[in-house]
Amino acid sequence: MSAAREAAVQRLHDLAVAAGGAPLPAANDGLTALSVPREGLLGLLASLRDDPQLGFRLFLDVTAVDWSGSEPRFEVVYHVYSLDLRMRVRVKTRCSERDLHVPSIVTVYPGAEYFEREVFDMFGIAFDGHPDLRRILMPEEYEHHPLRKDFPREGIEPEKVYRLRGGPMMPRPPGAEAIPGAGSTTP
Amino acid sequence: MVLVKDRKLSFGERCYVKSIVAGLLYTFSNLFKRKVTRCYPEQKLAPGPSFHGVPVLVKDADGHPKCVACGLCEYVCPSRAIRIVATETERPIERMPKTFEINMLRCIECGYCEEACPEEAIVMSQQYELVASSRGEMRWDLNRLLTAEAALGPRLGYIRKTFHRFQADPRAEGTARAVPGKGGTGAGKPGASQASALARYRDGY
Amino acid sequence: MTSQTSTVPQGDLRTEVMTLNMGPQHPSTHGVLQVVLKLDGEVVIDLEPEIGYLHRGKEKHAEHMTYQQWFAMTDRLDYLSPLQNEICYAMAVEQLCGIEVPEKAQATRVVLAECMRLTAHLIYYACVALEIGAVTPYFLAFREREDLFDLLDELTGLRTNQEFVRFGGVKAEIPADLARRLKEWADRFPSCVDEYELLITGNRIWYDRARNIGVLNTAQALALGLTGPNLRATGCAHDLRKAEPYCGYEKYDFEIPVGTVGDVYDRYLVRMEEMRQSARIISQALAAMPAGEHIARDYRHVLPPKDRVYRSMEELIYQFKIVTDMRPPRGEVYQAIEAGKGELGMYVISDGGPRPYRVHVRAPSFANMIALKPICVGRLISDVVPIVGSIDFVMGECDR
Repeated sequence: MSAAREAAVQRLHDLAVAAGGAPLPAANDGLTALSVPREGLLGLLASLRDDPQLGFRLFLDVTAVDWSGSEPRFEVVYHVYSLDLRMRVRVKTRCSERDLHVPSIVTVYPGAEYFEREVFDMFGIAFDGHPDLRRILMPEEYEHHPLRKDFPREGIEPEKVYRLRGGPMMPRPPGAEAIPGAGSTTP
Repeated sequence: MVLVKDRKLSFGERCYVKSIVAGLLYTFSNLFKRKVTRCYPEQKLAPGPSFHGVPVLVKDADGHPKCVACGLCEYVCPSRAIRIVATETERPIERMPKTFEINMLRCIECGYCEEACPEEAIVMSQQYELVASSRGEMRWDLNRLLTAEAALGPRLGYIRKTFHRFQADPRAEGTARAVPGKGGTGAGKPGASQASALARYRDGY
Repeated sequence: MTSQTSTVPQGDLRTEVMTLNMGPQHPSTHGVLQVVLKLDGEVVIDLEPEIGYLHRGKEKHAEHMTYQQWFAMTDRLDYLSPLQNEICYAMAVEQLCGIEVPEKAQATRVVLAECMRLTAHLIYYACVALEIGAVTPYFLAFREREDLFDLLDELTGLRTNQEFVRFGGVKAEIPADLARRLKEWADRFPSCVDEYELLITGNRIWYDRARNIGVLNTAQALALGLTGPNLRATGCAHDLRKAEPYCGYEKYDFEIPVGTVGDVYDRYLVRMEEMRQSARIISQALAAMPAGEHIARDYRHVLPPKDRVYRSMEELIYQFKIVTDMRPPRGEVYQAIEAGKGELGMYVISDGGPRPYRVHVRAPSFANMIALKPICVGRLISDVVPIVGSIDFVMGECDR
């Protein structure tokens, strides 16, 4: 098993280089990690899934990290799993704040659909070719991206939603004025 | 290692008969079994020493809080329920809380304050019925929080059993005896000699 | 029921597509899930789960809390199995810090994790039966669940959201008396599962409403990212407890139940068998509880013993240091465990500071939600309810 795994790791490194990326140093959890430019992402993931030696067929996770202050600012992280090798692999791709989009992997892993919507919702990263890129957790009218580092913990009251004093949040009717500061304090 | 689960219905089951008869028999048999429900307001629960009720402050024999207002519980509280304003005192502990407020509406009774407290001053009581007619009443102040040590006996015993982990450790004996006196004034005194403490840390207690 | 949207002409007669909102207060939606159904007659032609009603920003909170404080938040993700979330998070941070967990703590964690799997599956059994109209199973499942909660209450002090796991181990060891009663309960529990099965498994009403409904094959399930019982029901024997044993699961003897068809009925059978296996694991783990400490002797990340804190300056300093300023080294960890609903992953990134730089929860409930649309489209509306129940999700974890 370990020989097969070592061969697989070597194959992963080769694939990453072929896709224009590079293997990353092992993190604390010892997962094989690959970095790839976003142009090569789709091809790399498709070959991870289809390569008979690898077979990363189980889709696990898509998320993003905001490395605020460094460039490129955002990092999208994918985790996939191979049932035959019993190993995970982590694929990372970076994108800059000025050019905030990465290719969608829904064509390779359909399960990524909601995860990509969540990343779009929380970080504002657009996924090219996503069938239905809308917000998923926050209200559709919301303008901010909560998991960015510049978003305050206590939240930002949405402008298109207002709150009557003591009443529930509701969409602002057309023509109604926003109440300045209404509901912006937490008890 | 792998258990394949599959099931086809028998003839009796396909006719609905078997499951109806079995179900009714089972239901009726339960008429004669022990009752599992409790009539709560009439039959109160009897919480054990491990129970997490609302956190309260321990009052020492003189009626003062044991708390030294170090702020550790305020810091560790995940729901930010605790607010402390410290003041100085003439007593040997030198610091005490001027105000100590726990907002019981925020408190999640996780017990982290109790675990972080270096003075055995805040402990989880056995009180679980929290009723008030306004939000303000749910902010418990120092007077309301102070509880006599005697009333918290089982819980204090549980804390000592759980967190005084190395009491039985022979290596602990030496240092424990080297520093006489009880914990109340621990914050002000240096403990065992530094060399022996460092040696202890090097082998992980 | 809201609006009519488009028309589909069929000869002289025409049908109209109707939009139907199921939830967010529908009892079958396990919390606050809204499912927007587009119906042509009784046939579902499109479906859209609207989630986010329970979004509390747990991942955002993590960036502003100490590592220790976020334990309280993990409990509230999957609130039907809080200890499993705690264990997963603790393991992630332990890997980050390089803490060795003693064997006794690991065995205790196994007991707790399996108890949580049982409570989660009991809720599944209660709800899935209730949704097709069988009321009795609900009470039966809660009977055993309350017994288990009484025991856990005695151990942890809280019925749910226990906050019992610590970095390096668990808060307290299981007292001998409690261990004996817990073992008795676990030994008795398989007979309770027999009772549950007596009422439902061979019942033709349930069988007809579950067999060949909501079928998924293994390839689809893998591509959709389904894990846990939903994946195993398709016949794929993937279980992290066997594939990548953690917490010493390799020491226990248990089996992985798998299904044959991948329908609602198979998901039910797999979970019922998993309950028996979990009870077996609890029993084994309690019988062979290793001696030793229940928490690591690690002065950098584990609070020092209290009796020392009261007396010695060094321990007092460490007490303050660990509570306020525990700093794992820079790095990242993806830690996965087999939770009741599938693979629960915690992706923790540390920048060397006292607060996590980023915590991401790979929530099985969120991943399972994706399967709803492909398996419901084309089925009748009455099938949606058992399918939603059989997918088994908790909105607290799904929305985070």
